[in-house]
Amino acid sequence: MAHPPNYPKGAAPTDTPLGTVTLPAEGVQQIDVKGMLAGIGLGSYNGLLNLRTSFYGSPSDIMEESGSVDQSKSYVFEVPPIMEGPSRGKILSFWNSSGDTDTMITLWNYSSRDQDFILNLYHQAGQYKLPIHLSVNASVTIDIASLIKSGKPDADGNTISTDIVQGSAKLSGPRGDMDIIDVALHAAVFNVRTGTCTTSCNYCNYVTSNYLTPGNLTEVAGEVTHESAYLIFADGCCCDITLDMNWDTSSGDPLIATVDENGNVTGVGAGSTAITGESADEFVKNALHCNGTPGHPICPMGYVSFSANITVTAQVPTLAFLLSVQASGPAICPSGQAGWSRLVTMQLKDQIGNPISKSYLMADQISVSTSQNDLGISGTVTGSHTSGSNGQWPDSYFVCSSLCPGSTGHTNALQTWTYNGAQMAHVNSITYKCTGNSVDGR
Amino acid sequence: MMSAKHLHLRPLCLVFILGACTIHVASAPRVQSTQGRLLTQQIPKFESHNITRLDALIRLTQQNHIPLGVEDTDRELLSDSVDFVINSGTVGSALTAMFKGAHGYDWSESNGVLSISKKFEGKRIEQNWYGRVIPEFHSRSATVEELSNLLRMDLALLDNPQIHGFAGTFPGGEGRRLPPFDLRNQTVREVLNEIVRRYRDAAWVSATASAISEKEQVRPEWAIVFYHDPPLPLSQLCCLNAH
Repeated sequence: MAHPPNYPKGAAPTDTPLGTVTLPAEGVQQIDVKGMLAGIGLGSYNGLLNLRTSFYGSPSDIMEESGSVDQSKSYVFEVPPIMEGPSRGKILSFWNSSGDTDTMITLWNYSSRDQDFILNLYHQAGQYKLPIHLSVNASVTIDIASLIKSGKPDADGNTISTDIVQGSAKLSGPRGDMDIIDVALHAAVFNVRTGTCTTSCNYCNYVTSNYLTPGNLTEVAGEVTHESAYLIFADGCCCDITLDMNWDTSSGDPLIATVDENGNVTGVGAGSTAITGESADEFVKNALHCNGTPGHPICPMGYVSFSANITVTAQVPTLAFLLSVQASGPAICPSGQAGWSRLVTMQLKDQIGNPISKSYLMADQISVSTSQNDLGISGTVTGSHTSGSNGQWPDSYFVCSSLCPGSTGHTNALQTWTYNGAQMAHVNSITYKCTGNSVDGR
Repeated sequence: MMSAKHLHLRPLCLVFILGACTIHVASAPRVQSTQGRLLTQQIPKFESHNITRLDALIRLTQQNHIPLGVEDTDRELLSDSVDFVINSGTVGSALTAMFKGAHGYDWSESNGVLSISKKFEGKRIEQNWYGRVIPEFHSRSATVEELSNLLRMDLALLDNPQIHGFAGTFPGGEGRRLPPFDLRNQTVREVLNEIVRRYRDAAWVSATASAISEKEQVRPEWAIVFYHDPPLPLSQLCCLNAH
């Protein structure tokens, strides 16, 4: 085993190898740290020291325990060793600052990169965010009681009232749980009057599940639905990782549904299929392998794949929609009659109102209201129309009456449509006047 | 030979009675008769490959700017495909090639409009709905579809003069308006012919099955076909495609 201690030296912390310890099988040995420090000329060192132990083997090959003793050789408190490894965040179960009790939180950036953190202190009245920057090898100790007493507001303007004496905390990166952090965290709750100290457990905030929403998607052919991807963390928080997804654009049956690189699922034809994607985050991708084996982090951090079941129903022509008006004016009527005509563009729509881009033989029937027929309409003339490949067709709505152009009354009518002989569900409501007409209010 | 003589005489009689009208008979045995100016019009190379007979007919009239009226449509016109090439010839020879194998189709020229109809039991049914006489067809400046719709209303008024108002829809069609014109005591087919003749690049095509006898007439449904270059296929023409 090698013991490179880390300690503040001058302006920047430094690593210094302590030496090597050899343990026989099932051997137990107490390491004389002070003696080893003396061996490298630090026998009189008085200050903060981080000790790293490295060895070759699996995590289950060795047990380490450490504790702090005072200068009278009395045991003061446990200093539990922490397995190095990246994690998404670390949850501190509790802190206390009641009376003579205080909590010290120590962080050590053992990684080879500078890191930024947010220490979120949760308490009964709210939350306080403490930003922390640690350069390579840097350590920091945070005194919770002093922090509270300082009354310094955080970036959101929050302070912790002095009557708050306990809470919990979470250390994460600036982006929250999505950031991977490499840091050792230790918290000790101690009382200077009673001379007691205990450690506050901290846990990795790992991903417990993942899902796509909608997970079971039913859409009509031609409809586009955006899929969002979420992670659920151990602390109950959820995290939208939609923007970090790599969608498998070849997943799913292309005759049923497709997914693009942005997670947009397009229904193509009737049937069921599944589309898949995975997090672009390497830590999320590898998380299924997080079993503590060498080269992999201890903290589980996510799942590899995401999947959604897609059920696509066919577009059913449902509505003949008046899309736009091309022209309007007096109608061409038989002798003795006058009226109004509008040349419009109709659009075929499906059961959810999406356009249907397909050619059909469209035929309509007009049924004039018997209760609202000021114009005395008794004849109807309708025809057939062939929609273009975009599902649109030009149509002319007209009225002719012997009461026009003088009448200010109106006649109501219902218009039913068939496509290729099949009845469409929606019935258009038409209002005819001598100087205009409307279809479903348009 | 007896049959051929009989059919040979009938077009001559019609020429005598109708004056400007000439008729061909497609059904075997073939006959030759006096052809009008339109039918003898020379046309450039014309070819039709695996398209319906009606597609071929509209392509022929579109390419040669011939107004067209088709009074009877059936499977032989709407569904049967034709495949032939006319390197040089007349409208009449193209029609002969086009209707080879079809049964009972006649074609004739009527005041500059090529008319296609069928014979049943050897005779053309003149007194069907298309033979109904419209006492007065009064047109203001209007599009072809507006005039077609006006004719439908005039036809309805023939049966029920008590209709004091109409409402409904008609196809959008094309926007070019024809100058006003009035017709008196003309049949429905003559009014339709006059509309497409004035427009020139259009046809009217019956969308209903042929009447097989004068007693089994159905109210006519016709569609206006506007010529496009290249011609639109039948599947895109309202409302002749059989879904």
